[in-house]
Amino acid sequence: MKICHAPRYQGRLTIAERLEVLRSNGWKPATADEVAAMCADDDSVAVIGIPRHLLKRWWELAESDQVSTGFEGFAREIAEYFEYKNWFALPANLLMEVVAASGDKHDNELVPSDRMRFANGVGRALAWINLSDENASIALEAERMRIRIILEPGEGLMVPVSGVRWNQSTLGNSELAVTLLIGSLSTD
Amino acid sequence: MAAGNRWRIAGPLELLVLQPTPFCNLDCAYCYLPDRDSTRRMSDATLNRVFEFVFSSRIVEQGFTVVWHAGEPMVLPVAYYERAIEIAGAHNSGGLQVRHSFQTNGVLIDDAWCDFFKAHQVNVGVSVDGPAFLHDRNRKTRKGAGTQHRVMEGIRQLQRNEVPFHVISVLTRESLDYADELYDFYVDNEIREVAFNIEEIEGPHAASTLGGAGIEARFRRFIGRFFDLVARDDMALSVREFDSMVPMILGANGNQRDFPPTQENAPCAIVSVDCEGNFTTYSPELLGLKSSHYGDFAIGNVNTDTLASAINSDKFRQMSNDIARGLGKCRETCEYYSLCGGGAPVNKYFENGSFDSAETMFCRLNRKAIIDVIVAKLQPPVGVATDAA
Repeated sequence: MKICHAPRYQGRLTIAERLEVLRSNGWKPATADEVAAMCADDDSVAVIGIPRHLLKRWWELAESDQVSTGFEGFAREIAEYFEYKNWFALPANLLMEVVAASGDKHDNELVPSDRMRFANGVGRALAWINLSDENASIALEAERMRIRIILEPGEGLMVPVSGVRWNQSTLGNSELAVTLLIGSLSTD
Repeated sequence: MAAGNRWRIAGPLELLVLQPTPFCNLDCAYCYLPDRDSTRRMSDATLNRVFEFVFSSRIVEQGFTVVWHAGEPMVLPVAYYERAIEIAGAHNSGGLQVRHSFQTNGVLIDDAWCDFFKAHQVNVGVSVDGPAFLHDRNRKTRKGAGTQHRVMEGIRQLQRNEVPFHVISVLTRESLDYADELYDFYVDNEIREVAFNIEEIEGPHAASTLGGAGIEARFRRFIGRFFDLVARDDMALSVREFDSMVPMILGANGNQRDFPPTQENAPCAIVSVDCEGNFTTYSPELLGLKSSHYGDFAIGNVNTDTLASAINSDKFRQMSNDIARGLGKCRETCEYYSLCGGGAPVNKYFENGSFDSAETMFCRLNRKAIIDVIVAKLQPPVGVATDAA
């Protein structure tokens, strides 16, 4: 598995600043060799991000009492943004849902992205977005090691259709980690 | 100024572009100014002569705007402009309204400049291309360093001192993928008025990153996306391209021949004077550029010529005839003419090799694409009734 910044996305952090490796004494920054080995431009897990105005839109929605009625409009705006960025072809059965997790670690058990359980069934995850107001991270199974990628608020990961094994990995913050899951439901 | 007046042989003057110095403290990749290393400046004697020349000419009827540009105006001290405004006032015996405007790169703005801007109600335009990753690609110091953080310090000075300003952002190939990031940049930095220029082909800047294949589609996507973002926020961000075009589109009557030429196509609606007193008309960018056909585009010098002698010169007549023929081609062949007014002569010359020509990249992007996108956005969705029956 390789990691890159998605085309047409400018993050503040470099891949080296984002990448940590799980060692016997916990999560540690990746070495320069590890970073070099994991960076690539195609067929990769790609760091993406939504613009601040969309992140603010989510926070306003979350603080209102209209999350259920306003979410469809928010999801449509996210889809339009992805379409503009031309990051992937939006599937007809596109779905989005927001999941919140407490500060407990989730990275002990990784799950396959191409057989994800969504609220409405099983499907394929295409991307995750950190909707929290703090940094979050996603743990991934890489070759012979477990890594995690630090994501600033509004940033996320886009995964190849071949799938990855992943889970949220909290950074020690006590508040809820809020993630937007973007995927497509399986039709079979 | 009524645009209908632009059918005249010369004037009335709407814009006087003055080059206080050709020098610029920056070295932007897409700059078209050929002489920006020169530290020459317009002398008091030439300033006197410029305003004497202008106010005594028949092209001044009402007020006009003086734009200090064509080099970085703020490399000269505040005192220079205090004196220049005094000189202009001394020649303005009719008490016409003369507005002063600065187009600046913003890096030298401080409290003293803000006091000057407020005292003289100067219209300030700051060139900033958006977030640092876009701006710093092209807008660099002479040592090649990015300048965005310095421009933003200047903008914050203006804001702290409550000096109204607008920004001009040059769109390059790279910008077209970042409509949301640009929108966030303006909103987050409390920038209320934006104008987009495209990276044009002019003079020594002989190639634009917007000239390649597939760019037009990307440009339309960018404009469409940016329009949606602005519209979603009830047009709270003022964008020159939308604000000027939407009313024209809504009011268009389709009568192409009645539509007056733009300032840049109207003789002496714009007069541009360089620091030595050489002057020209039509597109301000022509001043200082070289031409195999005309030599240069100066039609006279305020120290030695009158406006009457200049517009009777062979060079002016040739330029004027060529520009008029190009304008005629636009009027006859372009379905966008009634919303455009004939494009910009400088683009025609440097893209097509002649003023006597019509469509340019500037037309395709800055006119046709923007008009098409706005027209599409203003259409009601299919199935939505437009009459409140």
